[in-house]
Formats: sequence, structure tokens, C-alpha cells
Amino acid sequence: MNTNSEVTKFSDRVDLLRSQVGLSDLKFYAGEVSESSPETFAHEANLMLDAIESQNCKPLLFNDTHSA
Amino acid sequence: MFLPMILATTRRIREDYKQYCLNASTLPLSVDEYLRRIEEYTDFQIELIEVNWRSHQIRGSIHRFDASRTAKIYVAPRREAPGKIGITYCEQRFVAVKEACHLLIDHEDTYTTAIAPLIESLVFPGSREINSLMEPMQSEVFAVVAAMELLFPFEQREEHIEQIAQGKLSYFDVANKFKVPERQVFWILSDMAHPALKKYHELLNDILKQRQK
Repeated sequence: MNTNSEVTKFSDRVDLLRSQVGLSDLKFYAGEVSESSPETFAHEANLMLDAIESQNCKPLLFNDTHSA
Repeated sequence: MFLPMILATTRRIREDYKQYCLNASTLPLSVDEYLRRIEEYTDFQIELIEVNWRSHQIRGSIHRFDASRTAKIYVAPRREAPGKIGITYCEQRFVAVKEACHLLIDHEDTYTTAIAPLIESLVFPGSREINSLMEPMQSEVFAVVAAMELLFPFEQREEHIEQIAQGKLSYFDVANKFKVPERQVFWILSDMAHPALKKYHELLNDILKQRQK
């Protein structure tokens, strides 16, 4: 097994986003990483991309404006 | 971008917020309104999306598309009960604003060019100090500072530091009041962050006074 398989897979997917849909930049906000490795983090990043690609998501609105 | 410039930018967004919000001092400060103000300031259209994955190590992400002036901010799902997968309402608010702040502060030098170093810096935060001159890593810290400037403005912090010191409030109380993660409140009010930010705010005030002369 390629020890960098998840990182490589995620990196390749980001490259595809760059070339196919014009992604300019990507950033993360990390959560609990005290027991993480780059591989487990990238695995979760791949799961997140899977969910985005399968449209397992919904618009988020806080409805917290104080205007009339 | 240097920190005083970031503080100047968040001050501008705060001023816009006060101008557009009828009840601008009402807490918690509005994330929806801030995102609108950041859209207007940056000329980016922001799409805020809750993604349903088993979030543990990642709370959110921003995908930026310069050619179309659009940005997609992905946020982890709301936790339905303590101990369940997902993040809290306060964390969702913070993630949304923190990721949007990347639109305020980032430039091409801070863009992520290689994924592996970015992931390593997130998984091993200590490496950020070693790599402190690397712009993408610096951008992460600055985005957190900028988000806290908006959600828990600097001018309101010292009174809360005093009240915490007097035992009148806890960090949790402050976090609950401003609807931001307690962890971020603890950090922004700590000796690690507050004195330095105070100096930068004073420096910015001096610069603005000089310009007015």
C-alpha cells in the first residue's frame, strides 16, 4: 500500500478541481487533530469531497440578521 | 498582508456592519450580515454550504474561484447532541466567518499550492512556528484573528477580561454571549494573543491619526 495514498488522492482531486473548474485556492479549518496523521486528515478531506460531489449538502443560512 | 492591515480591514467591515445593521450592537453579531459585507467589500459571491460528512478532524473549508469571483464555504453539519458527530452552532458561526475572512486577507502568495505541506501544518500545528515565514500557514492564524475581530470585537474584550478575572464571568459565559467557540475566546483573551493585538491596534490608531494630520 502506498503510505501516502490518501494525501496523494486528495492532492490529485484538488489538481482536477484546479484544471476543470478553476479552483484558485483552498483552505481548511481543522478540528480535533491531536490523534491525526496527514493520512487520516486527508482521508476525511476525501470524504468531505465525496459528500460535496454527491451533493450531500444544503445551503446554510443563520437567519441572524438584526435588520428589519 | 501584515496584521495592522488586517485589523484595518476588519475595522472597515465592522463600520460597514454598523452602517447596514439597524441594531448593530445586538448580540450575537450577525454572520449572515458579515458575509454580505465581505461579499460587497471583496466583490466575491459567497455560497455557504453545510456538508454532511462524518466531521471530526475538519470543521470547514473554503474553495476560492478567482475567475468567477465566487467562493464556496463548506461547513461541517450541526451536532444534534453532545458526543455526536458534527460541530456546534458557535463553531458553525466561527467557521463561516473565519473562512470568509480568507477572502479579505489572502493573495496569490498565500494560496495553497501544495496540499501535503498544508495538511502537515494543520495536523502538526507546531510546524507553523518553524514555517512561520510561509505565507499559507500565516494566513490560517490571521484568518482566525480576523474572524474574532468581527465576532468578538477588540474594543469589547478588556471589560470581559476584567470580569473573568473578578470571577463574574467564565470563558464559557463570554463564548455563549458572543456565540463563538469557547476555545477561541480563551485564546484571544489570553496573554498569548491579547497584549500583542492591543499593541497592533494602538499602532493602527497611531497610523490613522498620522494620516488625519
